[in-house]
Amino acid sequence: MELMKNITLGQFIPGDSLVHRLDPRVKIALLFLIMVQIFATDRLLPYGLLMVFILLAAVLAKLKLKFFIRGLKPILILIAITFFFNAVFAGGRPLVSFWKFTLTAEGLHLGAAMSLRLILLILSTSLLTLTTSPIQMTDALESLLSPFRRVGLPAHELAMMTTIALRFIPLMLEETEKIMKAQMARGAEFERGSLYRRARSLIPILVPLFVHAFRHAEELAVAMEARCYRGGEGRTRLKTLRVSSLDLWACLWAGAILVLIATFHPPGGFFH
Amino acid sequence: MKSTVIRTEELGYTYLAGTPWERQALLGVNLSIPRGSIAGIVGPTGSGKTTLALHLNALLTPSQGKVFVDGADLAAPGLDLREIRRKVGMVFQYPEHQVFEETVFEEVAFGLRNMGLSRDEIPLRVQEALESMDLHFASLKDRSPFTLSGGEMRRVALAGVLAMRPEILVMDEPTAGLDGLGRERMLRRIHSFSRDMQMTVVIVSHGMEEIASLVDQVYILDSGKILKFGPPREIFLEKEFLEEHHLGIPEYTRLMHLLIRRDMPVRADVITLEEARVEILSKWS
Repeated sequence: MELMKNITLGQFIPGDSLVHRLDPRVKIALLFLIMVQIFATDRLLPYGLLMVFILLAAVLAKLKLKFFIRGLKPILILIAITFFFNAVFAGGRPLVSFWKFTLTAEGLHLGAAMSLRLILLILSTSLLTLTTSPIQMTDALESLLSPFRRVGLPAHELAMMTTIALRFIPLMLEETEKIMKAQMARGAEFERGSLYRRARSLIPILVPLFVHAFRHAEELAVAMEARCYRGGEGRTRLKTLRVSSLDLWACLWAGAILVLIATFHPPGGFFH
Repeated sequence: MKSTVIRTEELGYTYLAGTPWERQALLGVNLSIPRGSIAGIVGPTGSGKTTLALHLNALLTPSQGKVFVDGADLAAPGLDLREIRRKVGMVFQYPEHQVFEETVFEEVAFGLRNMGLSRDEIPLRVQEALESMDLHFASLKDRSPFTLSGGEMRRVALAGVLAMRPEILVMDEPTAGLDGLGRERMLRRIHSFSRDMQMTVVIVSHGMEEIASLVDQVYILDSGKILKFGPPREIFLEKEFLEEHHLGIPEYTRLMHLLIRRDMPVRADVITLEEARVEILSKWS
């Protein structure tokens, strides 16, 4: 039993590739543009181009493609359900009917577009988190949010909270795994019996997990205070973020490709 | 020769296979533990000892090789894992972290209820287990386990496993984080309870020193491989080997080795302080 195995979102793989060396702010901005593009289109060709673009970036980041794509596994069911409901309930020209459902051309189109959107969103987001260390991510978030400080947004605190939350995902999973094993060794079962029994069987996991989380939070708070942490005011950094020529090149290329995809929007149906 | 109760054949395990974090934790491990004996698995941090322990009641399935408990292959399809887990009790590192019930009584009874024991049997077993851990049944049973001290919580958690009366007891560093006295008492309790119940015990530790006087056989593990095994007395003779693998030898064993180098004809294979004292005095002239 290894809960960590299929979760790539929120994890970081250290490396020294071109993608790793990009300024995290640039990466976040580009991810944002890609997301806009993902939602702006509903044609197969732009989706294909976006997919090629993201996979190329993954290759540039020296990620193993098999591992990268396996990050989709946890949401496969979600994708399948999305596709099915869109394909069946969208209405339009009927293609085939079976039992109580009618498959329509419009529905098929919508379902495919929705599923592709989900897939591209997950892949592009995990590309960012896999190649950006949590510290870089905080610094970038803080830097990007800092203009809003004037209207009272606690940029530093938000960034810090986000990073801590991200950092704790694998830790909590590890702890869950350990507690599950310990309770299984005492004869607990999680997959047998009625719904009520199954829900009850989670108590032996959730209680120790919460206790662990609170204790961990307290320890972290003490450790931060012991190092004189007192929020963002007047805080300086060992490594300040700087936009380099590499970032400019990345922007130029990515921008050109995105513009190309955006303009490449011929009239007609999904497959054109 | 007693029969073998736990046996592994060329056991290997790889964590997170197929991801960038892939790591071979165990490689070609062969164990053979006789019924009723106490075996130690000793190795430095990250040597794979916890991974090995998890295989002994099928909480992990081997990547390579096989594990047999009482002759049954743990990877065989259709095997009732609940039965195996009832037979092989497992105490995890920091067992106090799995405590969740509202009262000490319920905490210890959790495993017993999962076993489906009768209403009359449960209180008897709970009392027996708590008392074997030197905990006072009447005054503690209705208290919340979260109000106890860390050491008491650990003993409650241990009692929860002991109450199930497993035939085989696997413990992962049961003394981690305890002080010297607490450590000694804990090991003594485990020893006396397991002897009374005629249990086979596998105890995982990071140092030779603390388990030397307790175990019959020691397996030395490093980087996922068994480097040596034998009675602790024999292992203690190899001072250089132990030091090389940071497994620590007791001060008195170190003293014996020093005396030998100074031409005092003492034995180096002593495993307790008392034994060392007797040995030195007998050779003192």
